[in-house]
Amino acid sequence: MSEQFENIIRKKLQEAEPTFDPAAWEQMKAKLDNADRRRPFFWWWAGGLLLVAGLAGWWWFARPSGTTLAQQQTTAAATDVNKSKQNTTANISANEENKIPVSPSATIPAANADDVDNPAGKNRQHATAQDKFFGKPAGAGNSSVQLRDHINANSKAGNNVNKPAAGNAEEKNIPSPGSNVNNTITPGNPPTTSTGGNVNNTPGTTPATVPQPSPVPANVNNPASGKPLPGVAPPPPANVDNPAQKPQPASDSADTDKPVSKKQKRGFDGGLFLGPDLNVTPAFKGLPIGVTGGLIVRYHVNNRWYLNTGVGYAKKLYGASPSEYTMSYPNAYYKIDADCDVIDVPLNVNYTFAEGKKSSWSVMAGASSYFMLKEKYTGTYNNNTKRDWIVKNKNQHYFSVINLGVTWEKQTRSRLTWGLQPYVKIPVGGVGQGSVKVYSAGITVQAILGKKKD
Amino acid sequence: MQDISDIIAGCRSWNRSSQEALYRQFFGYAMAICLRYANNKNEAIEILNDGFLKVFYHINSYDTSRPFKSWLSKIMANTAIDHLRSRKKIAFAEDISQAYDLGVTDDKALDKLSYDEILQLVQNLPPAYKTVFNLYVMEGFQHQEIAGMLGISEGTSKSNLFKAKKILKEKIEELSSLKIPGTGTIGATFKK
Repeated sequence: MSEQFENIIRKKLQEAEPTFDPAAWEQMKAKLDNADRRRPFFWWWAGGLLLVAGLAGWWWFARPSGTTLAQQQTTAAATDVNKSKQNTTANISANEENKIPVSPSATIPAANADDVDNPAGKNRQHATAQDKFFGKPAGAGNSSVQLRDHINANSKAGNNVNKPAAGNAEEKNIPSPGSNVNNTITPGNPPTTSTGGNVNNTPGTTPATVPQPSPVPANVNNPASGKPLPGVAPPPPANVDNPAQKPQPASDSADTDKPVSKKQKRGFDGGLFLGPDLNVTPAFKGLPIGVTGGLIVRYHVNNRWYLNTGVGYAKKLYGASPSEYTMSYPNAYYKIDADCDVIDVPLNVNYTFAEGKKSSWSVMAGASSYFMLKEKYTGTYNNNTKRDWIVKNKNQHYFSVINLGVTWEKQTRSRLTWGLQPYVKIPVGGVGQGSVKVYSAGITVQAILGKKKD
Repeated sequence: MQDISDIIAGCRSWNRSSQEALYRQFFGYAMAICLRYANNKNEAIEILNDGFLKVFYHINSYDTSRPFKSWLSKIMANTAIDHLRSRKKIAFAEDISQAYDLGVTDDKALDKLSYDEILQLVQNLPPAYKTVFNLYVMEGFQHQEIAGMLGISEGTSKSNLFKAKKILKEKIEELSSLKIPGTGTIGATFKK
């Protein structure tokens, strides 16, 4: 009878359906509008965070220090110099025909950085002649040398010391923080630039900086001591603010007056990583151990900063409370266990805060995108019965997890670097079919192949 | 009427017109479910819209090889349970190990009552009884599943079902014997 009663009731309750209510849809639209507003918010937030992090990192390594500032400014100045290129053709031709070095005196005016910005006048012609001498196009290459001298003279006039060197223009363009090695004058190679030229910008400087038809640059042939350096024609310029006013080997001064700069690390390296991966949700329903591993690619911006990305596979196992699942299937289980195969694509920034001879420590921060390959969920009822369901390739979560970690690296004698990286992954949004917030932690062993450490 | 697969494809792209089309097409079916769990129409609409929001958010997880109504009914039932839980309306009765016979019910007594009247009787059941009754009689879940979903024992599920049916039987007989034409409307318009 009981069954019959149920059937009749069921039949009665199924025989009618409410008609569409426009007011209900209006309420629904309001809910959807709210949802629309929330969806892009995360992307703006995440995008903004990454942008700020990227700019902060860029600012840090690109901030003004010696050569880097000079390089930036000379690059900008190069354009102006190129504009004057067309006015100097006559001088170039003359020098080319003679195939002889341009008179040093002719190069002096060009060394004055003011000339770079001066679109007219013969100073510019001298500069171009010098370019041709070095077989370089007039403009960018030469102007970079000129303006770098100008900057060095203004910012570090007291340290400006002429230095003998190979004396070719290519070497002059090699950045060297805090040094003025660009002021190179070598016998046989005409000086391309001189600090003397820079002094023209300083009030009260000596007339020695004025261009003169002397075969020797006036600004470099004015040693206070009057003693020429062995093998090096130009002593320090007279007008340089050098209290000692003593001639000294430029090569020595370059080594002693400036801080010893380490070779900057720049470029790519890469390798493999592998380690255990622990995952937990706020409900803390167990702590099964998964595994993660994959490829890692790093780009070293300088000795301190590097970016790393790669592709990692992670076996993520975690238990969760049904209330943590926002999925629409029946979620009134006692607990739900997840076994997910995930591709993890990180984008991290590392900062090396301590570096020894063979080892280094760095901190890492960034975000990961999860691509869920296979999600297997097992719901457990109170009476211990279980129900499984599987979802494949349906969920992708872009930059939905914040990565934080510390990396210790040990350089071997070969190109191999070993590393250990404890990490945590903090969810910004939900992960997987149920949009569950899954926290991860673990430690990976890294094997990186790169350049051999100097 | 627009094809359901096209509508679902549009919903997956978060297309508003497709969402409205889906809502319109399944409003009656879903609202009928929500009304059985709710106490009134406004509460039912609240559950309905929460349920549809879940539908739109998780439309990618819908397996198109299965009937959409089946998926929708599960979502609505679960949303209703969540709703009742959030308002702490569910207080389950004591455990029983077996169901007792309710005795003979006059079929004609049921026939005398309209959909609205029976619906109102169901709505007036205590929330725990109503939930188990709906899950078992209307949604077709077994006691084992209901127990898992609600976090109760199977015996409690059986007990609540028994009591729900007992109350309904008494009310139906009372109404039909008194020949009360109706117990009022629930605020929604119904089509038959």
